[in-house]
This record gives sequence, C-alpha cells and structure tokens, in this order.
Amino acid sequence: MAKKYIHPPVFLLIALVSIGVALSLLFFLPTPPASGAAAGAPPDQSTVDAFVKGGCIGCHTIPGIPNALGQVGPHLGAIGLVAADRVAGLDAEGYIREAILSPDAFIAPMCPLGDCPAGVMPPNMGERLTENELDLIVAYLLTLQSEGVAQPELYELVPIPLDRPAEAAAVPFAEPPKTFDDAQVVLGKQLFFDRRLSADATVSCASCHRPEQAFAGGDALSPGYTGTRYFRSAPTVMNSVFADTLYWDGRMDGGDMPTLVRDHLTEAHFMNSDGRLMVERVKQVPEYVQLFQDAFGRNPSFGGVLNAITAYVQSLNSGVTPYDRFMAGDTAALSAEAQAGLELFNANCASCHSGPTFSDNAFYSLGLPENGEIWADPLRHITFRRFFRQLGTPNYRALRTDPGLYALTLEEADRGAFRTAPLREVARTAPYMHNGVLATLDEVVDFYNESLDLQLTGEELAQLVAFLESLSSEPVAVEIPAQPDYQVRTLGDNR
Amino acid sequence: MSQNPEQPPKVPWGQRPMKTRDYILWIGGPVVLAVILIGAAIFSISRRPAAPETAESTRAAVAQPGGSGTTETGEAAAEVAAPPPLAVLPDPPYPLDNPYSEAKAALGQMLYFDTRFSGDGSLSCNSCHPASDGSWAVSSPISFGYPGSTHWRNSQSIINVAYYSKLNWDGSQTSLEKQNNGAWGGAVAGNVDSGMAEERLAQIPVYVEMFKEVFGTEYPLYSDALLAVATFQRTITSRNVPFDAFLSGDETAISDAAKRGYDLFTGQANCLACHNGALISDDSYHNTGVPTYPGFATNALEQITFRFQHWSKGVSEELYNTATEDLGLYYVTKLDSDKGKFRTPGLRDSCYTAPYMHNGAFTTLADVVAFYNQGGGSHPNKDPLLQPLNLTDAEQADLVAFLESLCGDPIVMSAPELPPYEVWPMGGN
Repeated sequence: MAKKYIHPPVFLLIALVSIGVALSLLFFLPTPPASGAAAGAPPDQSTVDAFVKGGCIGCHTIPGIPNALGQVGPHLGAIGLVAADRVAGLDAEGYIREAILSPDAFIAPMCPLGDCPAGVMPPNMGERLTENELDLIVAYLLTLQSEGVAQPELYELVPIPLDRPAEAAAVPFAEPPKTFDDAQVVLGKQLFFDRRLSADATVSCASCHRPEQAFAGGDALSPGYTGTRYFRSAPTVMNSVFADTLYWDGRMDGGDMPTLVRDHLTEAHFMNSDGRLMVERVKQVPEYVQLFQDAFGRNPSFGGVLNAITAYVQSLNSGVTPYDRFMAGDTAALSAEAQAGLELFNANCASCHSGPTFSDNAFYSLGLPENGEIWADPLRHITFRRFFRQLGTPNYRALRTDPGLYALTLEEADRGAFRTAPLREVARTAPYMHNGVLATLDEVVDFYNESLDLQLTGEELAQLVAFLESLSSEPVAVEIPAQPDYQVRTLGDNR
Repeated sequence: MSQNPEQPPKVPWGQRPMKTRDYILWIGGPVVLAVILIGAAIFSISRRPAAPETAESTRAAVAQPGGSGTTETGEAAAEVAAPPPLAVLPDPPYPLDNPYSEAKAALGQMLYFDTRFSGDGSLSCNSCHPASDGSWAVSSPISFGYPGSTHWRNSQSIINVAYYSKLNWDGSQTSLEKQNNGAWGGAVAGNVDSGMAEERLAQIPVYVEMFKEVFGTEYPLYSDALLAVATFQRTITSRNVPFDAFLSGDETAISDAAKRGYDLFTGQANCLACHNGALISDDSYHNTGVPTYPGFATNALEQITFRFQHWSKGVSEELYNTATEDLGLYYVTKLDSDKGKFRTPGLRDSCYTAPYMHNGAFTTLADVVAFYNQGGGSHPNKDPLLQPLNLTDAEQADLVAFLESLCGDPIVMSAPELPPYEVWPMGGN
C-alpha cells in the first residue's frame, strides 16, 4: 500500500483558503450603504425666489441659496436627512411642510446661537407663499442632506493688483544675484504685513522689521512673540539677497532665505505658528488664494508662503546712494566732510566692512559691552536660555554673555563673535550692534576709536559719521497693504 | 501544533504514514476553523448598524437591558454582556507611574491655574476648564481656544476625569498626562513650546523648590509638570452625590421623580446600555447622530480650525478636501465604521456642565433627553441602539430629575496665589 503523506504546506493551503473564504464573506456580503447623503442639485431661480419671498434667508442658513446665512433659526444643511425623524407619524416631507406652516408645532433641537426660540418664525407662511412656492421650497429642502451641497458665492473678491511695490521696484545700487516675479513679490508683501501668520494673530514680520526704520526693528532688543522677549536686535532685512549668511550669528545660509522665514514663523520666540494652521488661515482669505494662483499656479502651501515672503524681502534693495553716485564720478554727491570720512573709512574700517554691502560676511568678537537687560528681565533670560539649550550650547544656564558664533562652532575663539553688519541704510537703523547697546552712529565710531585704538580726533569721527550717512538711499514710502478679511468657504470643497 | 506526541520526534514532517486520526486532524481542523470564521462573519454582518432590514432585530435588542448593538473594532463575535449597574463612585485610581502625593497635587493645582503654560502667557488649564463656577468646562458650545484661533469641540469638564481610560471626545489621548501635553502644546489650545515652558518654570524659584521636593530634579521638567497637573485633576471628583446616598440605602436621598427616572434610565429608556458603571459611562464610543455644528459651514475662523484638525489628524487628502463634519473616533482608528463616534460622557455632575455633546448642540439636560427620546439624530453610522423611546413629557421630566440627582456639591475653587518670575543672580549658576 502506497504510503500517504500530507505536507504542512498542504495544511496551510487548506487553512488559508478557508480563512480567505471566510474573510471574503465578511467583506463582500451586502452591507448597509456607508453614506445616505446625496449632493443637492443647485436650485433654479424660481426656487431661490421662493426662499427670498418667504423671508427664509434672513433667519436660516440654507446651503445653495444665495445670502441665506441667517443664524436665528436652525441651519438647514441636513434637513433632508433629519426631517423624517423629527415627529412621529410625519415623514420628511410632511414634517418640513408642518414646520413651515405651523412653526411652533415642533421646536428644532439646535440653533446656531443656542436654543431655538419658539414664537419667532412667522406663522403665516401659508398666506405668504403660493402652493407652488411652498412645493418648491419643500422639494429643495428635501435635497439638503448635509454633504456636498453647493454654496453660494458669499463675497465679492477684491483682487489685489499685481503691480510691483515701489520699495521693491527701485533701481538697486547693484545688480542683485536673484530677482523675483511681480506676483510673488506682491503676495509676499501681503504676507509680510499680515499679523495672522503668527499664532495669536498679533505679530507680523513688519512688527519687528518696520518699513519706517528701513525694515530694522528700532529697539535695542527685539520684542519677540507675545509673552516672550527676545535677546538680540532686529537687523534690517534690506539687501539680504546679497548676504552669504543670515542672522547675527550667521546660523543660516544666505542662499536659503525660505528656511529663515520658516524659523521666524514657527519659533516660539518669534511668531510661534503651527505651519498647518497658518496655511489654513491663508486659505481662508480668497484674495490670497487668488494671489497664490497668480504667483505659483497652485493653492496656498507652507512652502509657498516661505517663498513668497522671501521674494518680497529679497526684493528690498537699497537704491543708488550719494556714495554710489560719488564713486560713479559725481564729485558733488558727497560733501567735503563725507569725502574725508570716506578716506578714513577706507583706512580704518574697510578691512571688514568691504564689498557691495560693506560686509565681509565674516565674524568678529569686538569686546562689546553686554546688554544687561537680557539677564535682568526674566522674560528675556528665559528666551535666551531656551534658545541656547535648543542649539545645544554647553552650560547654557551659566551664560551671562551672548556666545554668538560659539554656539554654532563650539570653538572658544568664536565666543562673542558676530557677523560684520552690512552698512547700507545704516543711518536709518539705530540702535546698533547685535544687542543694541550703541544708540547712535557717534557712539559706534567712538566705540571703535577706543577699542581699536584708532586715535581719531573728534573732527575725524564726525567725518566718518557723515560718510556713513551717505550710505542711505532715498527712503521709499511703503504703502502698508490692507489685511483682507477671512471669508466663509464652501464646506467640504477644498480642492 | 504537535499532532503525534508518541511519534518519534526525529521523523521529519511529511515523511510518516498517515493514519485515520491524522486525516481527521489535517482536514477536519481547517474545516472547523473555516466554519467558525464564516459563522463569525455572518454574525458580525447581521449586527452592523443602520441596515434597514435589521431594524426589527435591533429594536428587539434594545428592549432588553444589555442588548448592546455596538460593534467594537474587530470584536465581531463579542459576547452580549449585561452592562455593569450604576454604582457608588470609588476613590479615584492613580496610575502606577504617577502615584498620588499631597505635594504633587498641590504643585499640580498651581500649574493648573498658571497662564505661563501657554505660548503667549494668556491661558491656563483653568481658562477652558474654569473651576470658579463649578463647571470645569467652557459654557459656550465650542471652546474658544488660543487667541487668534478657535477650538472646534465642546470643552469637557475635568470633574471625574480620573476614571476614563482615554481622553478627549475621540479617545485620541491614552492617558491624562498625554492629554495635558496636547492641551498645553496644541496649536488651537495652549500652544506652548515645552522648552520654553521649562525655562519659564526655572525662572520661578518657588516652583524650582517644589519640583525638587516632588520629583528630585535640579530644575523643573515639562514631563514632570504633566504628572503634577494630572495628579491634581484626578482629585477633582464628584462629592456628596444624592444618588450615591440612595444607592447606599438612604431612600430619602432622591426625589420620587428621580427614582422613577432611575427606573426609566435602567429600563424602558435603556440609557444604561451606554451610561453605566460607577462613572455612568461605558468609556466607549458611539454615533448618536448629534446635529452637525453649523459653524463649520458659516464661520470662517471655525473653518480654519476644522481643516487644520483634518490635516493634523492625518486623514487622506480626499477626506481633507471633502469633510463636512467632525468624524470623532475615526481620526484615531481610520475605520469608516467609527465615523462620527464620540466617547460616552459620564453623567455625574452634568447639571453643571452645559451645553452638552461634543459640539455643545444642546443647552439643557431636557434637550438631551428629548433628543434621545426621538431616537437620536440622523447619521448613516448612527448606533442602532438609538430608537424612538416614546416617553411622555412626564417621563422625560423624571429622567431629568434622575440626572439632577447625580449632581453632588458643586466643586468650586479659586485660583491660588502664584509665584512670580524672579531675576537669576548675576555671575554664574
């Protein structure tokens, strides 16, 4: 007799087939429909007219009916679903008819502002409306089943003109390495001034980079996000397209301004935003949705916000200054005093303040006095500690000086080193240095005269200041854009 | 599976002769397994909610207490067990990894009221769960949330929070400690950065000392702050509830109307199917067809939060684009069958916590009773347990009287004095 064997794979096969059969039964036997909701068809004009004539739109929100945004009576977006369950013995149509003709027979369970009030809906609808109008209203309400109902245009879109802002259109002192489309710059400007990009909707980029201060902060130490205070001053963002590194400590690459924007939007001490929530806010402004289409051909996105703000900021370049005109041969462009200052500058300052923006993009420790407010003000000290612990700075709790570049390199030689500040517009960006301890340009040149032992006379120092003042271009009046309101969108239609 | 223990173990699989017993095991085993699975499948299908053809059978299930028609995830063939009866509230449980101590609860109480645990320093736990009026919850339908934003759900009361296994209306947080983290850090809630919170605590010497005493750390840790606040919250439990006295034998503790309501609650109205046990909640999730919150269609700020929630909860892009309602438990399980399910709230002290439901749809307990009397709302996923109850007005009033007998002494607490920031001494650590 032949031996009969059965192999484990055969057992497994039988078992798996059996399980498969069972699972298919589980999934493929008829199941109840997942959703009974059908999209309502858009109403025809006579239906809309009937709702208007009945006065329904003043008190009810009725999807699909223009201007039916009332908050007094119940929202009717799902009335077609719930009507049948309202009153025993009445089907959906019967209930809706009764609710219109005898409004107080049954009080709906919920209104937008709380309990539905009895006695408010006029009891004379049977007289106001013809039989035909009543039929149209009932028929339309029966189609409202909560999901996917087309809603009316709720607002007039006020397009924002795509004209390049004056401050971004000036002829710059030099050819910038990057230029940006007008639509991106216009969008970026809107976002730069929009306070809703911060978590509590009170802080915009322009709160700390103020146009009237050549987009610098104007405070010794920047205020920071609500409930926090920052520990460095806000430098100008003008001419940043020329910078190799960004921030006082150069912790970001000049070629990656969008990452700096991201840092500002989301850091707890700047704007503290959750990027997702921020994008949803942008999407709630129809003008911005339109601008995103113009600028990027797509819906608002986090990356788009970063790129647009970058486009605006990196279009903010100094125009031609008296210094530039002088160098181009216009000897009358600089006063004799400023010309003398230029000589002194070239002899004493230009080794670091070099290049088109007067910065060598390098880092130096100057032995500046610390700004004691950082440690005397608990809120600033909190931000200071939290910042350096985030960077992983050793012994951050013991710090009583700003470590500057050291926090990035951990090289002792870099302690207290900061990026050479560019000098264009410098006369408009007081106070000075990373911690704002020098209030005026006079104090700045005095500081260098002493710390570098330059042995310049008072007259020479004044000449230096006169030269520095020639580095400002004609201020451009910045038109502060209006902040367009959030508008209601069609629920469930976010493509 | 060891089929033949007496067989020499060295004989490999597939190389020994089959015996009758083997045939029975090899072929009969899988067949029996298949029959069990098919049976389970059919059983499960017959119990899926909302199928019109099964309405009769589910109504029959409703008629007897304990006819739980819910399909909990995956437990297709779960036994139909009688719900646990209502009971006197025991002492709150404290988890093994966060035991109670008086000092910890005292610290947690201060942190509960401290607005420095929000991004802009304007909100504390107490802002949205106010202790001053005994509600420990916001009295508007939807909580206001962080400045510049709005929340999107009704703020739940802190009272008896110790007894739930998971937190939030959708059970998205698996412990009270984690819930506190979500509330302190969430973009439409506290919006605080944990590192910032720790450095703020470190700037407050009184807190530094208290944390050192309770947790033994040199400087306060955010994670320890979560433990402390949870410990405080667990102490907020119903006190002196008339119904508990009644259960303990004092027949005069509640009114006759409340007693009739109790009979309805456990009998004809079958509230007990979900609202059971000492907490008067099954600690589970049901779709009752609560009307959709109208603000999602009409209020721009609420639309922002609505879409943000869908984005941050990781739904599909398609659902993000098309969602029109709060999907509750679905965000946690991503099962279509869980759409619109929300946690059964405990009913103790509910007379202090109006409005009701996850979106504050109802203003009074009478509204809630009326809603259930009509069989709940309308939703494709509605729990078949909900059927029209046909209660008279008097019976509904009795139910409300019973619910009111579940309310103990109001728990009112004012903010303790909070220690200020102080300047750190200059010259080192």
